Amino acid sequence: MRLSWRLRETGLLLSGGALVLCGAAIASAARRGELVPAAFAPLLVYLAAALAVHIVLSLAGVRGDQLLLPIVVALSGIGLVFLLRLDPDFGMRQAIWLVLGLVIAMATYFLTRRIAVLRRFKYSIATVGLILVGLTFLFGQDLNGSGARLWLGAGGIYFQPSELLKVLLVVFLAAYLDEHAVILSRGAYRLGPVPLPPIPYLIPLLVMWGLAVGMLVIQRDLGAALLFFGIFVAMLYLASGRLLYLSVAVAAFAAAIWVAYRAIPIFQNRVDTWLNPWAQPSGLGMQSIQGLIALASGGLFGAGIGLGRPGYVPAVHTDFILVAIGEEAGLAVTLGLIALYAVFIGRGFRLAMRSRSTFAALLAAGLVTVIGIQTFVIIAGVLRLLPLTGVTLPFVSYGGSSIVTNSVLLGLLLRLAADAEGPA
Amino acid sequence: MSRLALLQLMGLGAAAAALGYWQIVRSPELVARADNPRRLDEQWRTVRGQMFDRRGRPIARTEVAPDGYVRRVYPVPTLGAVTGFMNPLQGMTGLERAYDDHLAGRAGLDPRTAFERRLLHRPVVGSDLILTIDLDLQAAAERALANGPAAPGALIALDPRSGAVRALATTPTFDPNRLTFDPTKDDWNAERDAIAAYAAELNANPAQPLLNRTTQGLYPPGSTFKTVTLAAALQRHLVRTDHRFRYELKPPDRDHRTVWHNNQFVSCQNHTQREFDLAHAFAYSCNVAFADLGSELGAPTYLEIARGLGMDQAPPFDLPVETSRLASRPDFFTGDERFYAIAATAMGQGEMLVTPLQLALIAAAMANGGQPPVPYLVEEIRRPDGRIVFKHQPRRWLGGVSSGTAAAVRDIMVTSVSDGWASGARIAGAKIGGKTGTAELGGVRTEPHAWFIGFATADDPRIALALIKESSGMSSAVAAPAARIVFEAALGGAA
Repeated sequence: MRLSWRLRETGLLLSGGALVLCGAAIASAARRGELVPAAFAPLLVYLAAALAVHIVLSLAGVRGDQLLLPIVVALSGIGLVFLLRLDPDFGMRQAIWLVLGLVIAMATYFLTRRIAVLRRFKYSIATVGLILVGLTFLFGQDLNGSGARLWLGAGGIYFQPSELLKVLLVVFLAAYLDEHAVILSRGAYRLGPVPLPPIPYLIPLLVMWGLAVGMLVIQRDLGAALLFFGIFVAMLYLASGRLLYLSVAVAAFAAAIWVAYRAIPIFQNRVDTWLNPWAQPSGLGMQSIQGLIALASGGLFGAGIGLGRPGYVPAVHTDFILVAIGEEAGLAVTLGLIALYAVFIGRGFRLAMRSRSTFAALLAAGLVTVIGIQTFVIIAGVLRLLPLTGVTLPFVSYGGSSIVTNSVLLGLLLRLAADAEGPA
Repeated sequence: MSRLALLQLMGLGAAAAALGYWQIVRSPELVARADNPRRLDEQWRTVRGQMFDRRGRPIARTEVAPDGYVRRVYPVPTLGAVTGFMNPLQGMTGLERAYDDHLAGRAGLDPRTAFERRLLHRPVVGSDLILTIDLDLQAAAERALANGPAAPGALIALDPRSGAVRALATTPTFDPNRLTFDPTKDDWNAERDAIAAYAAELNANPAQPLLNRTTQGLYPPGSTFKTVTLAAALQRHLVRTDHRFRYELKPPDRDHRTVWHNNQFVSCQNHTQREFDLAHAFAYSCNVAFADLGSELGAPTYLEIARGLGMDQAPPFDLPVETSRLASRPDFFTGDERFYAIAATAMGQGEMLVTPLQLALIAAAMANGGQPPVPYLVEEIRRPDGRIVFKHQPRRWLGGVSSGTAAAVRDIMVTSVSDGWASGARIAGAKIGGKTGTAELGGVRTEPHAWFIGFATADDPRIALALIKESSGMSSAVAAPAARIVFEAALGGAA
């Protein structure tokens, strides 16, 4: 064994793990008056699995960023503590998904030994993605009554394709934009006096716009539309460095949203609720207001884990898990969460800048942008900076599709990190 | 690329700022919102303090269910006007509301204990209230109101030396247990509906069971107000106790009424007697004599003394009180009717409206040195560990009248019971003082309200009371015997 043990990762995992275990113990003591092993056994199993992943990585001599895994484990661990406290059933299932997620992350890491393979299969990837979208458009089901038909599946097993689609889109765009990077130097086509983006940009731009509008109109899913379009715009900007295309794209999307606002009552309600939830505190504004009250109840240090009443907020275990954390652990911990995301994003971009190929750089930046945008969209929605949309808080919220997708994303980032360090 | 990274970090920065805004800046306002379910939840899990009568018998207690929710129980439902009740629809009332801070355990903690509790999340246990109420006397008061014709009524009895309220009865009553939300029930919606239905039933009842008639019922006082006139005349030395009235009375008509100046009907005793002393003028409620006393005193003097006895101001009290007033119009005593106004007021007619509490305070003042006491219901507040965090301190409120005046009025009130319309309250061997009042309701063809105010005893003033039975006829037949029930209980050791 070479001397390349991931010591930093060991320390971070152990200290982070110890902290979330304390959280679980506190929750157990507060809820039941004693330490119930069942209350934190799932967390212990997950932490053990994370440690196993760490040992495997170390033994395999994997180099590269040692912060990504501990941050993900810390976020997931905090989420699991609160899920176990909110509803042991959800917590149990989440723990299973999280362990499975670690396996998927490892599988992704070891299967993408040559990252360039992904580049070659970009059109296959795009086709799979489009088929998924098509299926969702046609057979999508509305499982939680939100009005958005996001789920595919039958017989009790359901999956949210838009989750996986995020990663597929980033991989495809990274490959596609990398391939057509040369075109950047060429002049643009013109439609009269209006300069148009080059065809290789124009086509995906139109496709993406169509996809996003389709999500808006057919699936009523503003969150996913925002997320996808955001990812696309960010990567287009990364690849081209041109603000003009961005402005055109953003303007077109804004126009679509405006039309949707005028034409689709659901959107109108949602935007009106965003602007003034206080007008209907027991109607459409209820979730938003109850979420804010829960946050306010927490104050600086929170009511104590297990001692608040976050159960009054609808969807508190998924989209609104932040308010449960805010109520029981206070601003101190919610700011800590934000800091974890900030470090994660910072490390991702650092990785992108150190990558050895444009494809790897685009891929790393794109993947981390998925996390960045999604985190912002849901937190901003809960805090009324943006209209509320149904998006999970990455790594923290309950949800199998979300965990699987984010695990693939983590596996890819670990692979890119290892590659950035050069051949071992 | 770094710009994109910066943009995302700025987004997170905005989120962090927004978190601070909602969790800290807007926190107090949001937490205080009525639709914050945590407030109710906290209320339903707070082990509120108990209420006891002055001898330690329970009046309100809290039962804790295994799941941590608590049920508030009122073992003496007829004291609903005192204890109050609490539910999410109507909030809190009565002492539950007035002493919520102590009952819920928020007040009376030293800062260090309060901090420890918050830090360690120790369950809050509220402080107990020791009330001035005496359940034996309360039972007697309820019997007194039930005596005779069934009618809405009110009785308040207090210790004239301290103002401690010993009994507070108002009928019809309601059951505070049925108006208090019970979170230990499985079906909260059904519980809420049951409370709403009961509340609607009470509100639809024309007799207004939720009205605390002792402190919020405003009634014409009738002849009981001659007590004020008597005190004013003696205080200003207009007459002495040996004063004698002589009237040239015209022959009585069929209705035993005689015509008095300004065509006002007045009457006295057997209506043929031309000469009587001050005590008997009071004991037999001679309108003409008291109208003359008032007229001679003049409105300004009369009103000043009446106000010194608590009229036109609400006494400080733990429960909501209505202000007893001398007139309903501001110019009643100065306008065109001014001569009539003072004469009518002095004999107990006019426009006055009083609460039973106010008349009880006037009776108490006469029984005990001339100053109306400050009424109160809470003697002591104790932490569960026995530590006393509040003890009632006697307070001064109004000047009242001199002790000499009060003693003279007291003795005349004793005469009124031993030889007058108030004799129904007589108890052999005890110097009971009192005055009846029969408040006729202008023009309406209903029976008048029957009043009694008085005290027991002149030598040892233990109890002063005022009672009213609405539309129940002549006071001497209805109210005086009812008062006797309470006096007997008080002299028997109940207060």
